[in-house]
Amino acid sequence: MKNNLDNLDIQILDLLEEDGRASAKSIALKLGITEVTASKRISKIIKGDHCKVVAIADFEKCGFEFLLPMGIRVHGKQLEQVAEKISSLDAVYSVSAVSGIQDLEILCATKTLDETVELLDVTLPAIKGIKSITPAISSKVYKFQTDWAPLGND
Amino acid sequence: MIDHIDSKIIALLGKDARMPNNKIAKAINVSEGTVRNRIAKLLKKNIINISLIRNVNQMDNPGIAFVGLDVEASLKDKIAMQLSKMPEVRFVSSLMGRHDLMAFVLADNATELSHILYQKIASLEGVQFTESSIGLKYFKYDYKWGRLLSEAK
Repeated sequence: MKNNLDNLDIQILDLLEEDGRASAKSIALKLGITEVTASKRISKIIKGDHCKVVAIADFEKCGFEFLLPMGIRVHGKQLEQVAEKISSLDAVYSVSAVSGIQDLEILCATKTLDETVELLDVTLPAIKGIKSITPAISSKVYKFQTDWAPLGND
Repeated sequence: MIDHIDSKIIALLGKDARMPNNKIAKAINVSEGTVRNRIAKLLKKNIINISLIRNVNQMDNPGIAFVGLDVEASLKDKIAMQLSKMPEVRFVSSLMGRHDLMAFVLADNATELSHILYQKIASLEGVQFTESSIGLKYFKYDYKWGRLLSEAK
């Protein structure tokens, strides 16, 4: 993944990993380069496909009481359409096509039991092509690492 | 809890955490001081965390698996902790329904993935059954959200 990055880029990447909002000035000071160079390199690194520097917000502290890792099975050839429809729902945080018993693995977040029930009993079943929904509620999250993710072209 | 100004700041920082305070202030019509204070508060309370996210799609041949585990009831907590300690295991949660535990694994390649699934995870004491699904395609991943667990670091 670091193919197009040189040594200096990688050093900058490591500093951004420690503090994503570190100023170009402080990075320049630490690496003994000019602020202009630091600034240019930072833009290059974070505008490319390699990584993003973003704020990650905590589900629970922002009021999402329910985290639901669900398996979805889909009729025949409708996988892509079903996946796109599910992806368009706000409550849905991730959608992955998988091989195995399930066709899709999705992760949803909801704020109340009513919202959860609505999602499970009304919204998802209304999507044409879904064969079955295997729901679960996450009771305790032990680990949630966010340093790698599939980044699209948004 | 957070108010609507916090929410707006979180939304902007969720797209680009390096957005300068004065730009954020202008975008949401509050003073730069307010933005600075709010961000400091959000960080201090661990409501947000500024992270560098590397792109899985830039890995040559990543092996990703969603693993459901059925385990001996008395060992559930212990197994969850053991899974959390494995660097390739990115997510661990206990579940109500479906399985007792769920884990996501990200490995450098398929060989390493199978090693983790069969040698490291399935052989843990108390694991009775595992159901693994291999990730093929990613339709959505909203990286702006997560659980910020200080003890996991």
